[in-house]
Amino acid sequence: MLKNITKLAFCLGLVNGTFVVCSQQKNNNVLNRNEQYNFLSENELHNLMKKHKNLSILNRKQTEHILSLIRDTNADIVSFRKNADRLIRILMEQALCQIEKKKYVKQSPLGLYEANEVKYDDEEICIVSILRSGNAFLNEGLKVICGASIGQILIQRNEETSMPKYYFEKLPEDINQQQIILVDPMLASGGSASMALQLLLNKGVKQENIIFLTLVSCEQGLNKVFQQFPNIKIITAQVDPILLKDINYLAPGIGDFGDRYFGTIKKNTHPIKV
Amino acid sequence: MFKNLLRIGVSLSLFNSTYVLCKQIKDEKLPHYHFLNDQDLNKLLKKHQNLSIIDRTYTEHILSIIRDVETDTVEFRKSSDRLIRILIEQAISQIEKKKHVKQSPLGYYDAHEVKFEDEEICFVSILRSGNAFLFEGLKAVSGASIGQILIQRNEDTALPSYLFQKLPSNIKDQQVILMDPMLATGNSATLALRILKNQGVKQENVTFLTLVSCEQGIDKLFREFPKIKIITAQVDPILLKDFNYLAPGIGNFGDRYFGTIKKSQQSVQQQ
Repeated sequence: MLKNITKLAFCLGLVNGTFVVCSQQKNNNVLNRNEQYNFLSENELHNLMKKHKNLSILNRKQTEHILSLIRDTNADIVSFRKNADRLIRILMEQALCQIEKKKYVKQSPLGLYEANEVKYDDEEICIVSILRSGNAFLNEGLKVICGASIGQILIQRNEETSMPKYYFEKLPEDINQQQIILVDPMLASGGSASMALQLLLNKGVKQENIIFLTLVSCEQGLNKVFQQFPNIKIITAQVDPILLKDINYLAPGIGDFGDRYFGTIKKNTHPIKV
Repeated sequence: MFKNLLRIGVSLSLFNSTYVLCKQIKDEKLPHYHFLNDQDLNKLLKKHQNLSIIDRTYTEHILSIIRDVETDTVEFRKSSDRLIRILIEQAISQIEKKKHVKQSPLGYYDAHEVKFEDEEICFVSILRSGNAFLFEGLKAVSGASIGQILIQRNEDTALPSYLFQKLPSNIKDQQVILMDPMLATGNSATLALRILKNQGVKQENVTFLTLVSCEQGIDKLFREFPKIKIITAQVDPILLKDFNYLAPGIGNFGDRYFGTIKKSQQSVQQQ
């Protein structure tokens, strides 16, 4: 009786052992199939900033954690939105700090002090979003600058040719006199951004009055935009190393920001677009 | 010396009074609109079972600030957000509920909770003005999906033209809350509802939210889609035929909320 039980236990142990070994093997294979992307080093980022004077990359310490949560393919929609909003808020504050300031003397409860305040009223700042993903920035944007005007440009990327197509625009009438903050979460090939910037220039906006905000970008996109529009300012949270040529997506990137923020795609159909 | 002062005083007061009189005469040229009384509203509610008009005491004050031509952008946005929040809470309250039994710190109680998870609710906004509803919508239902349909009204013909849509792929299984601030002729709303129908959405799962509407618009929608629900904050008495704007209305909600038109140009528009 005891012998039989020990034999049974031994067999079960063998079966279990082989199962564990096999699943580990399978896991290893899966990991090897996914590409491992490494981010750019500090040196490379420095070189990029020296090359383009008007480029600002946010401090890595501020953005590492939040971006990591956003990139995670398992993030559910609520936490994706929360973290995206946090990062967008940081970008917005950075944009505001780069707008021209005026000096006054003001009075604090204890005495006079030198006041450096933004030169423009809320209403003279215009947030232009590139629909559809850019609209995600408006939520936080309006919290920071309550009285800002909002303009919208609808540009959709044709998924086959990767060429941007212009559909529609609604911009304030006096936009050529305003400080513009152009927003779009991703800067990949730079096609949509260039189209939007050209549209703004056609309306009479000066390049020095434009700040372009984006979450992740890549070197090719930055080069292209600065080549055509050298006087705009660009603020990005992180620069990704690779632009996948066939599909023009950034890697590791965020995937399709619009679909993830607005929930137009189910989570389990996400995985790996490669 | 004293006589001169007196003369100056008299002429100043004459100037002042003529100015006030002239201003009053100018103001009389603007039409004065009265709202529907409670009886008319009750008749409308009886005629359409699926229509809800939010209680006047809730909305009078806020709507008055929104309608005011003197309101600046910040105040307009704050008040619109308040009203939109009220509408969205009302919409969610009309979604089907399920009964559970749950435990409170002192004992069991009957729990009536919304039957669907956050992700099964979808806000569909009719760009561009409908986007204003999304800010408050996401605060109320953080996990909702968002769909967008771009319909622009051609200013000459007043007919809507469909430009673009981005809807969740599983929208036919979801509870849809369609949003557009104004319901005038009902043409844009009808176009949007037809698009939803083509995607397989059932009428019973659609709730249409709007700030101000008018009888013609409501009639038109219910004739073609009798099973949807409509929730509106107030019903305005008149639809101006030439421009198809509501009167007194709000003006162009999108331009006022997004600040694409300066305040000083707003009063001219309404004439």
